Amino acid sequence: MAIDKIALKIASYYTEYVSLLESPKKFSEGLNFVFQTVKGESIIKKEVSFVDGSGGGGDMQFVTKQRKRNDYRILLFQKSFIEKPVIRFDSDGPAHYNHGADITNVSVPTPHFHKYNDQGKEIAYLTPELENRDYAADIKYNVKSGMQLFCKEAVIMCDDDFSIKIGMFDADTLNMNKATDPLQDFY
Amino acid sequence: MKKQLDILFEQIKNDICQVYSHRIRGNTLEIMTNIPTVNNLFVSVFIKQVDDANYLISDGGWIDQDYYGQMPDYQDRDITEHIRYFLLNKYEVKPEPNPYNGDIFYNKVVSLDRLSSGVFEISNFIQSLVNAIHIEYREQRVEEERKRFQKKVNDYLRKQYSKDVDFNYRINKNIRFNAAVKRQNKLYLLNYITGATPGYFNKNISEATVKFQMTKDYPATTKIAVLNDEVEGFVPEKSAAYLSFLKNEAGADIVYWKNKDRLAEIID
Repeated sequence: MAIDKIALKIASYYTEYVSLLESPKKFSEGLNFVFQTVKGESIIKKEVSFVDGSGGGGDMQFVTKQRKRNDYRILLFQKSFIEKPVIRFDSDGPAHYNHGADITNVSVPTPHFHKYNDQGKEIAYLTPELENRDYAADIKYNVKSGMQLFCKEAVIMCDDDFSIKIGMFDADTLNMNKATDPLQDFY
Repeated sequence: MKKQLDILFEQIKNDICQVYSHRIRGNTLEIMTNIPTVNNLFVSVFIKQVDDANYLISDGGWIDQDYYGQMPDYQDRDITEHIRYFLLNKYEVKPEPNPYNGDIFYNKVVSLDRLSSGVFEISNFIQSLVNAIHIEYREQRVEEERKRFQKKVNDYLRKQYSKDVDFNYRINKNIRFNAAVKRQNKLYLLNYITGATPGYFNKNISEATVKFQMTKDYPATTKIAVLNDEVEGFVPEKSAAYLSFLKNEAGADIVYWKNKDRLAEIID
């Protein structure tokens, strides 16, 4: 069994990890977001740096990916630290199993966030916003609202109303199916 | 004492049942079960009424769409295909393609009195399949070598052909290629060949040969084998017979990785 290198790294540098998440960040090149369509998936990649000016040079990256299968993910990478995203948002998909949590927190349904605990274990959690069922139902197909929540959670500073511009390479690709019924066209 | 233990049991039962939850998706009921996979996900099953008496229980296409982590190309891997086949039979699950996009759905149709046990069966099927797939069966270095070469070639093709290239390309229900490039109504099918040892290397050549032979009737396709000539497992004299068969019988153009610029000559 391979050693979980990421868990080891996070556990050894947990203070740095927390500080990475909590330090105010900004988008290095403004708030104009353009989705590119690659193989039917829409993707945005934006460089992020710390507000104090450090950490630029493409090391930190914000990625939003809308997949063919009617869901999207938002991720923040700092690849010089770990290969996997330091924090992640999943709009849909299976609930996450938090090992060893108390029984009410063992299963965390989507939409949810992922980050690491002080032992380097990946855990899923809901923010207070996501505990609201209507909000959670809406954010599943509302990518902009997902990006807004992600920026708040990952402390990426934007205008208060998150007045970003989303340019679309192909407008249709963001037209997600509100019902998100996987069996809709089946049987 | 007995009473205390009974209470304890009730508490545990209630707690564990609470892990079950549900969502309504259009006309479909999603049940988020308390059945976990080794990669820390809870299995979801989808239920839809199909007629007066019967219900469809399905994975909702989630396995094939990689919601439970990346699933392998079954045809490429004897062990995983064997496991899948075994589980399909054991749980009497029917794989059915979605007519709209070719995704596979794993389904079972049952009457109302069998609904709960059917949900249990499908959940166990999903869990077993996902768990089986996430265990490494091959020697780690063999797997790592395969992934390393695949990444190298994928990165190169992505750079050269960006939007025209599709990875893990499925030409029909049963055959996938590592990549396909579409250019002016022509389809270039690419299969990568590597191997940590000459044995694995030749096995890879054989698989590519069979896949190319099976698609020989597809019109306007060019078959390209991208061969890793930088790996230890590549020993030219040990693979010569296999390679000549790949070239002459399966009609594949062999591109050696050290000479990858030749790809641009073939694909234009």
